Amino acid sequence: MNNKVLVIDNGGYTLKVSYVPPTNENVNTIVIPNQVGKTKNEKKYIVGDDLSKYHNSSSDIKYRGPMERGYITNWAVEKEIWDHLFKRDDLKVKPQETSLLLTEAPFDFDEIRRALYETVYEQYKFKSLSLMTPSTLGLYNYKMENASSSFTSSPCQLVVDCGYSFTHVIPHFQNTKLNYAIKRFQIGGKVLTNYLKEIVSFRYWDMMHETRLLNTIKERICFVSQDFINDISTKDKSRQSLLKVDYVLPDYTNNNTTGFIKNKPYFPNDKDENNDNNNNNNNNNNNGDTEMKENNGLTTESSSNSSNDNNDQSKESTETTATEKGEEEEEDEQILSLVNERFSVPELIFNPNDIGLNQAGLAESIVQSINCTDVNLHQSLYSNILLLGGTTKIAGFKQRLFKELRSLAPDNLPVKIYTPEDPILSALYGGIKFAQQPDFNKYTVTKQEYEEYGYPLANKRFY
Amino acid sequence: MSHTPKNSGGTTPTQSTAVLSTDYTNTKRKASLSKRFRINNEQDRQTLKERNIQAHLEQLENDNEMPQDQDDDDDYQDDDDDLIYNTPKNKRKINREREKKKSESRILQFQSVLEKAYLETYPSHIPTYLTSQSSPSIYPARSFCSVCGGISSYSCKQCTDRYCSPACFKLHNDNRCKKGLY
Repeated sequence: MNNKVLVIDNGGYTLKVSYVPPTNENVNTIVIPNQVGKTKNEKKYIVGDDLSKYHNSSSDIKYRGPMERGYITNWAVEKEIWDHLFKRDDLKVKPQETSLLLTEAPFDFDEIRRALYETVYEQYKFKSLSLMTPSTLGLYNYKMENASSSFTSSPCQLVVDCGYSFTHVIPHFQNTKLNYAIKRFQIGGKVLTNYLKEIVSFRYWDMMHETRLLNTIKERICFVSQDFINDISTKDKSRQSLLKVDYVLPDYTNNNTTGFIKNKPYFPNDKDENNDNNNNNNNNNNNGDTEMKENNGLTTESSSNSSNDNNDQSKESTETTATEKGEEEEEDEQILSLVNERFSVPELIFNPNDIGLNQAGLAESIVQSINCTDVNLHQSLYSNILLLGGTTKIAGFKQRLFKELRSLAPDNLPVKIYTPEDPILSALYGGIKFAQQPDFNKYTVTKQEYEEYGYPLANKRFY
Repeated sequence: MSHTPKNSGGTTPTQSTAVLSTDYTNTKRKASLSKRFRINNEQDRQTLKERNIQAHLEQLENDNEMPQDQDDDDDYQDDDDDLIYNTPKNKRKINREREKKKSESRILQFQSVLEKAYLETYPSHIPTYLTSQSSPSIYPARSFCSVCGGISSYSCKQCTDRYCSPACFKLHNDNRCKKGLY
């Protein structure tokens, strides 16, 4: 079959690519940073896997991303990354014979889309293009995986896409997103990383140019507090020492390239989480086995310092060094001790007002979004909430959201939150499953059609 | 907080914090600060606060550590001790190649794209980027110390940043206070 379909999930932080395989076995997914790097000595950009290697060997590198506020604006950089990607041995993309399924944020601008069409159709000459929102694909994936659950049989679902650039709350009715009820607030992983960077630079070490390192630190140590005001105003010494984490900064020797946590970190909601789960079960009486499994997965992940997929290898190596290293080298270590930074940074997702952003937090945005829809949909929207995006992997996220949403929602409606196994990759898997559909062609615009009718047709089809 | 006499414009930490609680216009040290920059009424303070927050938010939203168009200038400065204006031929060539590559691909600025779209002119029933923004929270804003992160009850008279204790205020005043210079 010569009709190959390439799926690209173009995220703000990482780019996820895969071919659509004929069957669902051994899907080869590639995850690379959606950024280029530049050192002082080299003129050329460093892209892809080389970049993650570079990140592990030196801090003297400048990064540049193609996205601005979640939309692709710098095509020079994006093309640099795509060129590198298409030449890879395990992809070898020939655009003339390939259809492209690309993700984009909702409410894309006309001008940005025109630049996209130009690049895809005229410069790369792809056979056809399909644009989808990542949340729709992620929802599709979760529905296909849990075909018999009540989540799938319900007519509408609400997807929370908390990614790197921003957070979207998108209600879906029978796999179609309801544009008039979409709500967005400008807090994502990027703002959290920048905020942590700012705090750390002011209070401890100057790390203003170490965005990538701080992103790794954020992924390893941050958690969402279940009782924020109590945690931040506590004067209890034992409680404070419990929350404290000593993070050893990398020195780029002895395999210590991304740093490591010195003592085993305490994630206070490990315990609370279980209690909450029990409560949830009692409240709803119909939490299936799948949900419990997911939660267990979440807890084990958080206790083993969940980190980015890219850094899996480095994580293993750092863990071994952490145990091998005795007390001899302690004197040379640069240690970053964080206490209230650990939970006051992710708190921004629930209270953007803390930094002066005059927008409602996640729970309130969900309520606002649901109130935009018809009254008859409310019940099934409240009880079918799906979390997507890398930021939702922060420990305690789901429990906190449930707690806040429960108090805001009408008390006769049940609230239920689902999480997929891998919130980062689920949009890519959804794209693969979507492209395997027999009627996938209905959602594409071929190069011929584009040349004949121009971008209005494409804009109409990818509404 | 112990009280110190009004006119003792000293430099010791306890005194400088105490000055805040008194009428500081009389002290010598504060008087030496240019009067033009001093903020006296509530309205000015409010606008300054909003401007500070806006600048802070833009900094947090920043995607790239360096601005988009600064890229090329960087190359010249990094290499050896060449003057910025004195570019050798091979560099000019590289520059030309890059220019060519750039002209092929579109580089947009988000802010100008947003302005050119004229989303405000759309009728209210059409959902756009602007209408999809979530509206302000129903809860009042909380305030946190800009130094230590704890809950704060006071704000700096000069720059409206928050602080929670005399120790934090001293740190703020020594390092971070913008003294209303905006």
